[in-house]
Amino acid sequence: MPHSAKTPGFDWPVEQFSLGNGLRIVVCPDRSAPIAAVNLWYNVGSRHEPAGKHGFAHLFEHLMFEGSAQVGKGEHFEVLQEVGGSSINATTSSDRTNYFQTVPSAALSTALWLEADRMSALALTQETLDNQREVVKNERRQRYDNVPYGRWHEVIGELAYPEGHPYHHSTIGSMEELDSATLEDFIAFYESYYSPDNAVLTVVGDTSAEEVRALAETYFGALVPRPRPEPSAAPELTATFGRAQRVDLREDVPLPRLFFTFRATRFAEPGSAAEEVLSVLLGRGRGSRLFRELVTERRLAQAEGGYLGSWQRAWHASQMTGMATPLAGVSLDTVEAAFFDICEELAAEQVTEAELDRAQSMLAADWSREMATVSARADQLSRHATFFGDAARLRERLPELLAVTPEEIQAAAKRVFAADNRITLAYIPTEA
Amino acid sequence: MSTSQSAQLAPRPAIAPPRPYVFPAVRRSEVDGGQILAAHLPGQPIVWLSLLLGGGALREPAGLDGLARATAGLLDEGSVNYTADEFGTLVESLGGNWSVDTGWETARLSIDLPVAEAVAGAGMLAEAAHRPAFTDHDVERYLADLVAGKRESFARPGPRAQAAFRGALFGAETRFGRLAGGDPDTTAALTAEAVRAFHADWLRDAGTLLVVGDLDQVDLAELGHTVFGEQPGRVVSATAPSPLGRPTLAADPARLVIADRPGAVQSTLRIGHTTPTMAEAIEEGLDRVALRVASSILGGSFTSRLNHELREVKGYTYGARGAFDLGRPVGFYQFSAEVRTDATGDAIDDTLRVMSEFLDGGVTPEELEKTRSHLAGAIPIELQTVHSVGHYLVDIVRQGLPDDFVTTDHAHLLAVTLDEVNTAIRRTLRTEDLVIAVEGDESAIALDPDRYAPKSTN
Repeated sequence: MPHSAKTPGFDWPVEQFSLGNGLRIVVCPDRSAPIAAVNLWYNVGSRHEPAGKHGFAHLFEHLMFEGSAQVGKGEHFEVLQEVGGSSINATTSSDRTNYFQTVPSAALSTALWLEADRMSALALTQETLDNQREVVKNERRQRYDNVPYGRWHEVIGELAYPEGHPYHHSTIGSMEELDSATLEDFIAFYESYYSPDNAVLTVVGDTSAEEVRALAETYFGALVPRPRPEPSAAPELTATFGRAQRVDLREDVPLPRLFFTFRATRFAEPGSAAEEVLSVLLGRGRGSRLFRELVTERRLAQAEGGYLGSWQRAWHASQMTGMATPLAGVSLDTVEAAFFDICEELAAEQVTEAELDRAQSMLAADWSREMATVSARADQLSRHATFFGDAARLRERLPELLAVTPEEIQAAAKRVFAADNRITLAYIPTEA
Repeated sequence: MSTSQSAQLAPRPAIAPPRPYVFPAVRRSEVDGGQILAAHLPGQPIVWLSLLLGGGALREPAGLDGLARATAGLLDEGSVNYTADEFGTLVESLGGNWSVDTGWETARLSIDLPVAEAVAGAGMLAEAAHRPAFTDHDVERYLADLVAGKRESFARPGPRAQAAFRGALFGAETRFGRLAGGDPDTTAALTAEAVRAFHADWLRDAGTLLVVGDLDQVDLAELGHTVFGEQPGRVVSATAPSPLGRPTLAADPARLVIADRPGAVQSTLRIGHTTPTMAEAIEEGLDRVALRVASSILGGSFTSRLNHELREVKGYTYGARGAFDLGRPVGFYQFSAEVRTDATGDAIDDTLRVMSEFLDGGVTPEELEKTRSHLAGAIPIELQTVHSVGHYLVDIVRQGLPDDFVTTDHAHLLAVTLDEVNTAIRRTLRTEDLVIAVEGDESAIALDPDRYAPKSTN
């Protein structure tokens, strides 16, 4: 039964169990359409990459589509398409790697068979590694190297986390590191992390817990768990950066632009919900305080290219990042100072009920939009099962955001916008 | 090398056929002179409302490219009853997402929001469409930001390739030979006066209201009355707009055009030609379902021949796609990809070769069966949200398609034959007419224009 926007939450049933090999399984039946989403989270991301091997978790994700014991090279997509599957993909972040597809519910067994085959017996060959290495290098060119400001995210991450920290590097890796990758690296990576007891399998849609349990036993039941290496100790992070820092980059970009980052609370730790609401209140949407003040009232910044957002990183201190683009004739320094002033206002004074209501109404409606697809629902359930060992924690997510008070917003602003907790990355056009 | 656990792997399962799919019945009504099309998606907490009006880019006066888009974008930047900031804040406080879409012939305002706020959402559409303030202050601010936004967007790969492609096909001196949204220079020429005039001339037709959501929870007549009823500031144009002609192709289109982007590490490719519109396809008996199947096999899906060759086999790109858009006022086939600079010429050659081989050899029975299943399965997966169903309602109105076309196309897809698929693609894709536009580092890609000249040239 779908939830209503007036009683926010997650009203679908959630059933959870584990197989003998440690594979955790989440089932969320919804008979409203004859489809089922199959989603797997492996608890491995770029945070597990050793020095010199950055980008390998993501490159490995590509190799997972290149065949396994019973699936030929390039056949993974073909098999899913033959049974009417769609929304087939995978993504890698610092925290985790997810694999997903939605299929007609009549073909649920095919999707589970495919996922089990590649979890159990991936075919890793030099040919597919060489080919997917080129694909990933093209991805890097397309997303980072061939677009203005394309590297901001990578640069600001390196400034926000110390060398050696699991979040210091981007997930894409450098061309040199990608070139140095060997087949042995990926065999070791697979053996270490792609084990049934390091994964969560979620099925959402036209099915039942009984059906999924039986299918999971058939396809995953015989897989054997493997040991994982101890995670290396991450450098301790202080509550703030400990200083304000600004880095100027001169590049071939069309407009001067500022990127900001602040150290923020880990996902789901006390205070993180308030920080999420704070970022929406300040920096998302036409009615946000940063837009109104910088763009319409004070005419310092442009409408395009302004926001503030919270990253919700789960294993170490997270980040809030923002962006502002000065209006022609306004200096970067002026906009930087105004941006921080507006952030600090939230620390100095409590927000109005109307502002808080706008942010929470947006978050509630976003929740409804997101939960409209079985695929997104499955991904959120896998996320909560991976991070908290309990997929049903998802039910608390929206109520937590809607319960945030003006006092908590103010406390969050004091914490995040402290004078010693800000990094600015300024892009300056080379022609200027 | 295969890495394996010592597990007994289960064999691939056989599966039952999927259940049939039926698109929601479209409910049509007329309220206060405005048309309403609505589709019922039970249980959806979000309702999607969209107001389709005239006033696309082909109505713009000369020299003001981008005026249609700017005018539609300014409708929510201040109205008679709300300042620009108040309007945006109010929409968001309702949990609403506001969006604007302008094409060559139409402009469309949309809001989606919690279904309990549907009437308030319809009120915001009416406020924007009928009572925009267009104050000098707001318009000047908005236009200045728009110019900067255009500068940034033209610095990214894509728009200049697309402009070169259109210019080659239609001639950059014609409106249709340029981009619908204008470029940094034309956007800089827009004025508040031009915006007000464009609104008065083209955005005062009654329009069509599209609604998708749980219709048991909304009163369509009330929504219609809110948008179309008598209200202050509302003036409906008494005369029907003059019909728009079909843009004509350039007499002798260049086969290869290059937009120079010094230092680019990738080249942006656009390769294609014009096709019939949906209405012309119906008139000419062109099987659009068969064409969609062929197009998916050639360049539409991840396993398509073009993506397979350029990404998986050759490693030139992160992804390559090609598709037909039987849109108005002219249809297109267009292939697009970002390829490594040093592989630009090879990527073009391989693209043309794969297309020629596809036309010569045709679709295989295995490809047809796989694609039939894929496309049939994709429909109920795609149509889970109010937005995706809404986009089909837009097609029904813009293209004059029957209300049940999604259902009948789906049924035809399950029966379409190999002959129908090969006939449709061979009628519609013409390699000899393909225009190649490249945005990239001209000195590094070193393409020989003669190589791509029409083969029939004497």
